[in-house]
Amino acid sequence: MSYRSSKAYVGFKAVNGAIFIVLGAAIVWQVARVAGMRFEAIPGLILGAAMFALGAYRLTMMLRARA
Amino acid sequence: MSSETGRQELRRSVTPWGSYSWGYADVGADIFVALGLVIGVAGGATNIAFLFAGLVYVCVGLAYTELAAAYPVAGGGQYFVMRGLGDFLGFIAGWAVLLDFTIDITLFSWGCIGYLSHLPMLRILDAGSHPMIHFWVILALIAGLALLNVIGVRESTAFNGFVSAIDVFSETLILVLGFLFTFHPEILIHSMQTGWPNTFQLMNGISLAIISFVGLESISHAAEETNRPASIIPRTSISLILTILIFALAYSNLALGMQPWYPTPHDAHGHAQQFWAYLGSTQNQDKAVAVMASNIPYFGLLAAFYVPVFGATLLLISSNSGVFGSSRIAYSMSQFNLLPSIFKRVHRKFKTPVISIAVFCTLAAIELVFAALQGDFGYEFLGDLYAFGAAASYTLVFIALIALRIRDPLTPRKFMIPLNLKIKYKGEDVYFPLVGLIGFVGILAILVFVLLTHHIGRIAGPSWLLFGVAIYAIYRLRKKLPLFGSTPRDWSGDQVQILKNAGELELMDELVGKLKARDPNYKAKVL
Repeated sequence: MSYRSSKAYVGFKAVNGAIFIVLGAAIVWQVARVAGMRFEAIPGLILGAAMFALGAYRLTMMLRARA
Repeated sequence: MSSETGRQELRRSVTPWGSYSWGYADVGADIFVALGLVIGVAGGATNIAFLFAGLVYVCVGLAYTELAAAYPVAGGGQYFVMRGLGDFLGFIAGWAVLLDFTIDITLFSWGCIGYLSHLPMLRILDAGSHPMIHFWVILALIAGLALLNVIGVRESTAFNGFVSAIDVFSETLILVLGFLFTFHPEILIHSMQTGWPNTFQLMNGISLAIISFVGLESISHAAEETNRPASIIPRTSISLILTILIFALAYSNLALGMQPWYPTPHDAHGHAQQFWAYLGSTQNQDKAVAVMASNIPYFGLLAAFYVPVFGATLLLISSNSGVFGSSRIAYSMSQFNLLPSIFKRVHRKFKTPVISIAVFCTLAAIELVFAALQGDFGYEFLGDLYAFGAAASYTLVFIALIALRIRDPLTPRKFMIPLNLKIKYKGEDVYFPLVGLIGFVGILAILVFVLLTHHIGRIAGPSWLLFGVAIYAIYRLRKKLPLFGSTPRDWSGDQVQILKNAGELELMDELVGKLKARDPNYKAKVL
């Protein structure tokens, strides 16, 4: 069994992915709530979206490894 | 194993995680140095500076990934540029990378001592209050690293993997707790509105932000020691690029939008200041992440001790990789007759490149002297030169990427940068990389920003290149080798050998098939 399909690795990826999804979504929501679509919101929105995407990517990888 | 050209090959034993952590150990520490420097000049636009540099970095990272997977040999930018654009420009790229490695030794040693000085019992190491002690300790550190490298002590891949795992965990923890307990979007917006810099400062900040993404040479170093690199390198380096990018964006946004746990001290003139301004002040520039972490409620109590020690360890490892990397690049350059063979000489007992180590550590010490002479701006001076070296070598790497796509379309590229334009060139199908072109424009802009805004970098950087060109010219003329031309080499034969050594036998067969289709009399000579 490779380390990529080990229980600990898959668990770590799942937790890590979930944290980034929640954090990314929270940042997007908070920044959008306060700044709307002003210029100053752009870096915060990009950061939140990137974190969300990284989390989703890690969760997808985890699900693929489990399958 | 030796190849046809007499190049020494390294054992291929690095795993995917080893390859990732090798890169992370080099690039991951950069944010510990870059954050304070960029806030110091870009102020409220720090996140924009990191965003611009980050987008360019994604293009650079993709270019390195494609090139390292297609040409898995150590040497990095210098090798790609030499192969795509010839010996002279290959030398320029390698010499610019050497500038970065020598600065890396000094800058990261400085940062290491800076982080340690955040500990209450080691305040004596602070650059601002005890500059002479600070100077001598860094000098001793550089000498110590040189000695360790001469006797052949180097962190192992397993150690790199362990440190990288702790680093990813720690940086994530700081971010999660920081965003959870201290981040207020209102403060972020306010900081951006009140601390927005002028155009000159913004350009300066963007050029310094590229520091956060330097160290991609390690991707190609890892490629030489990874089995089947065409499959493994793209997977690990794309993950590495994303992680580094997100960390840089997250730290810069958090720094601007943070409500610190402790009241922010007044500035030197007794005026109230915002937290980001405190982070970017000269007394905190070299330990910004530690100051930030210690201002997270409750966690800050632990972070005040843990993050400085941890940051110093990371920066020490990065500094060591500068010593190791410079000797390796110089070794590679001398193998291709770009530098005198003295750089290939190894110590009789320890079998390490003692001359290279001694020369480049001495240069690092000289850079330290110049930095110390700048007073409060010593750290920024080193950052200027670091940005110049990175921008100069990355610019040439983009041109090499485009040139290699045109001149060497037969080499199989298991990973290709997305968005390509298919064209015909000399009867062959060529895929012109549009992302490479965008990256080239971006990094060229950063190089122009460096030259426009870094009053020392614009003199010291080109002076370094001129100094190198003089050494190169004397060496090539004495050896009766072409000065601006290239030594004739059988690149196709070399490539077949490289793919065989890498264990990429399918790709090797594919290349031999293409070469035979072009020239029916072609016979591959593989050892």
